Amino acid sequence: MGLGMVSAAFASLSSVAVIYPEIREPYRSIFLDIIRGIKNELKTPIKSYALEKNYSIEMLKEKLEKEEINVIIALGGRGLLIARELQSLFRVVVGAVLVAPDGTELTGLSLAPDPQIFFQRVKEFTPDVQRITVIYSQEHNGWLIKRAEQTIRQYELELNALPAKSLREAASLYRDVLNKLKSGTDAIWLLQDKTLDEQTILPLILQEAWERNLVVFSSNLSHLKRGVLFALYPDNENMGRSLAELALKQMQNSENIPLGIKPLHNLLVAFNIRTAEHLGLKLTSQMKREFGLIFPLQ
Amino acid sequence: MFPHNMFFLIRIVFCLFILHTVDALALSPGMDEEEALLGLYGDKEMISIATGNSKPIAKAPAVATVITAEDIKEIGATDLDEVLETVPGLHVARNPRGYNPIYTFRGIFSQFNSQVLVLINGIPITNLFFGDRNQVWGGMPVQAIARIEVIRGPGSAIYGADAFAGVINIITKTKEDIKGTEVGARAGSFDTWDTWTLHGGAWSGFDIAVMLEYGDTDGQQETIDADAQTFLDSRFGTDVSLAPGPVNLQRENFDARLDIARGHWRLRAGLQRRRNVGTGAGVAEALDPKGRFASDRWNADLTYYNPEFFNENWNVKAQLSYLDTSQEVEEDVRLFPRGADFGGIPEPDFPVGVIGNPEVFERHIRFNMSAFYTGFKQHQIRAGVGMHYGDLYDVKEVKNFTLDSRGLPRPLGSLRDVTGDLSQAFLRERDRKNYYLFLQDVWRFSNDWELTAGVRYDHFSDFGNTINPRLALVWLTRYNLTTKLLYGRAFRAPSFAELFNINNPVALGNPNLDPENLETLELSLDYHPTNELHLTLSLFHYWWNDIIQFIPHPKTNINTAQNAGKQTGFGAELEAGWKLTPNFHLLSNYAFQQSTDEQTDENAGNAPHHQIYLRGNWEFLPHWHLSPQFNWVIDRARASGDNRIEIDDYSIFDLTLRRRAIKEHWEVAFSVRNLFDVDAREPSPVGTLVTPIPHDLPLAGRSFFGELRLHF
Repeated sequence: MGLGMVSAAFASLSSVAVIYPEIREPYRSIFLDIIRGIKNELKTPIKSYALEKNYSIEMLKEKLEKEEINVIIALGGRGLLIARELQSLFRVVVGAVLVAPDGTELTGLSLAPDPQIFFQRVKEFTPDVQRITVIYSQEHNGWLIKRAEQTIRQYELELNALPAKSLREAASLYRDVLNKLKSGTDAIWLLQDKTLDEQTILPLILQEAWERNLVVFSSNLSHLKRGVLFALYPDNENMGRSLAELALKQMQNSENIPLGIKPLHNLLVAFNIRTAEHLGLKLTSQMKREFGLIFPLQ
Repeated sequence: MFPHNMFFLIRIVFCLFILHTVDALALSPGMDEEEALLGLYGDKEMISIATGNSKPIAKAPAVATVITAEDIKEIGATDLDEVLETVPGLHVARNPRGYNPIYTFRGIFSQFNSQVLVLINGIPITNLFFGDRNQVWGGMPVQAIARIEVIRGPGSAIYGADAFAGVINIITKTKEDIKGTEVGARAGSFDTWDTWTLHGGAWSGFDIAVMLEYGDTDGQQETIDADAQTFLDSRFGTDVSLAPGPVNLQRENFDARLDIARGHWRLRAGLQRRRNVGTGAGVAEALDPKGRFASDRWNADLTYYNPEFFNENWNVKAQLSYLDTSQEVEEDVRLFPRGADFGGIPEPDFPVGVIGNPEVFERHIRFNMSAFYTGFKQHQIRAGVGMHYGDLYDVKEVKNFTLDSRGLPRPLGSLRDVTGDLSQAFLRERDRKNYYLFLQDVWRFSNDWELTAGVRYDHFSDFGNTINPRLALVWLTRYNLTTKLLYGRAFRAPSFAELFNINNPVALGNPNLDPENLETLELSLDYHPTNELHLTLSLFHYWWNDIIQFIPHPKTNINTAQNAGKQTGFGAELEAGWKLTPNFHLLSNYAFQQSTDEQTDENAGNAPHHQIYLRGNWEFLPHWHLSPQFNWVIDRARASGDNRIEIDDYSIFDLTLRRRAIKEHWEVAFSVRNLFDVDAREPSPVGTLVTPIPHDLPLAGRSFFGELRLHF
């Protein structure tokens, strides 16, 4: 038990190792897609290790040392724990995990989509929108909102960011704010956040938005099915490529100084045509071709 | 039977409840990782789509069901028919001949089932002879299937002839669906063996998919206790019937498919080879354990698809396709067994049996081109033209009998090759040309309203012209509710057997036939009350006119094909998909239909009035899937003139256990079908004077299958 090792690469000496959690499908495919991206970018054989839940860090360390690993790309929550344990011994890049850039001495990519990409897409799909309202938990998404505030001005948009401490507070904020938003010029941004209850608040937002022609977009892919206009989701293979680039940078980084955590730029658009029709938006074929997913599925 | 079935239903519901309860207790390693990913991707279905494991489904222009390769695995299906039985409003009945499937949509039942259009990759596989999928069907394996799209109701405005009661489009796998190589094998009851190899990869800039499947089975051997010869024995004082005896359902299948794509072009080719195909319950409904059929179906198509032909507003598709299909005899087919006698002479008329070996060969060439224009603000226009040339180019027959004016066989003296002898052959060689054009406009007249109006004109060289319109009004009622009102008219082209049968006083062709037609009105609601629950409801009413029937001439008593029948029907279908927990989902549907034969004002019969289907999928441990399935077929009336007691309802319970990702690449599954060994039967045809197989057609009892897959 302990280390469930799977060598996805050829048996040759290589200096890059990818560590990812042993997990069931379809979750596992996410990691396999990321690894494919890493391999395609590095174009050299790499070692990959699928970690079971009760892995032994000692055994892993031994393996990595024996294989003369130079840089580790650690994926997922288990990868993050490993990264923290091993960053004094190896160069480490973390990925495929929700991690805030503050308070961490690591190098890597967070799974949280970069707000900047959202604003860019809002401008593209709904040029009339002027203000974006977001209700968020300071504790979980404070850093993301800070980044949003820094970048939103370049898109001539206004951010109406409202912190909420609890579900109850968020619910009452949503009730207040939904009444005040204006059709056509206001948009709502749904974050992956503990202040959004899927069973009660989400249907309320979607129904109100439908009736009052408000634009809603989200960083949760399944909200697309429920009726938000668009969602952004990770482009796994390209995320792998970006992680590989970071790994190369880390290898050249003689001091092994952490390069920090960045929000995710490798994102695909999932778009709900039904909602777009309801809002009276016209999409070009060019736009449709760029979408990673179109709903209703076709 | 009702309490018996009720007992099963309670048992199933209880089983599913237990699964659900236990699931809440099951702890899954990796839950922390999963939770983080769920926050971003939402649910497993979305992850599966986002990582390309499952494909977005086609947006169908009607009330449709899409079954994916993943669903097929869940069902534990080994053949297409097992998959189709799970579709609401569709029931698979059986023809005695080869047990060929009768796909019965919404109460529209006929022995040759030419009212249903089956397509492979959008190309019809309809044969000219009987308007069906070939008399030697022999089943269809499922490993090469990426998805099946089933449209209930008419689709002639788009698909043309025979898109009548329903359309079944089988889409085969491409490179993306296979991703690498898969090798698999299955073994089970009835001495059944199946093996397959799939490969999808890139080569010199081409995307390539190769699929090979081979299967061999003795088939189920349930007993037919009385057949047509049993009746003849009682009439003519003989004792030669092989009933009681088993049905003859052995077969050997080989399927090969190739898919090559590059840029805008795709080339596909395939072979469906059937050998050693048993006669089912007998060609003349008299058991024939030795008769063997064979069939080869070759197909190829070249497709050009460009979503930006002139500019981004033009989407153009052109397709050229070829199909060659045969019905052949491998071992003499006995219509009646050795020693059959029809009272002519003191000795048996047919000491070696009544032998008839009809063979038919066809080729089909199709070309179609369609363009989709999206440059207008409120309108999307789709227009197309096409042609179909179908040639029944060879008819062969070896037989030892001729039919007298009453339709009874008389000896020809010996086994004679009557090929080309127009006084003896059963059919003339013929061809058919069909030219068509269609136009469709999708008019978005307000943000939430869309009206689709389409019409297709068809010209046929043998029976003339037909025009079929379609209207669909779609209303985005709420953020989670869509309402559709649909109207469609469809036609079914008369088959060559109906038009050109000769020398057969039981069923003589009539070149003056018109196509059958069908008008359907539907109301459909699609509702997503929560993320976990999806409901659809369809209400329909149809009018089926000019039904082709073989009617006896009042003076000669010879049956000739005529547009004589009329049937109307109405009903409802309710579907529900429910994710009870992240690891357990439940799929269910209920279908109801009531159809009336307007000539007699009685129930049209044969099709179930109610159908209930339930399937659960429970991942009780990581990579371990358990899928129970329950199908309840309820209340099938006899057709007018059939005085037999009503056929029993049946409920069948199947179970599939699957373990994925063993040592990364391996997968095993075990299935049991008809777990409680229920005696399930499909209605046998009623005769005018006598019903040859009075006690209906028995389906397979309990059976077991184990399978192993390697994916690398």
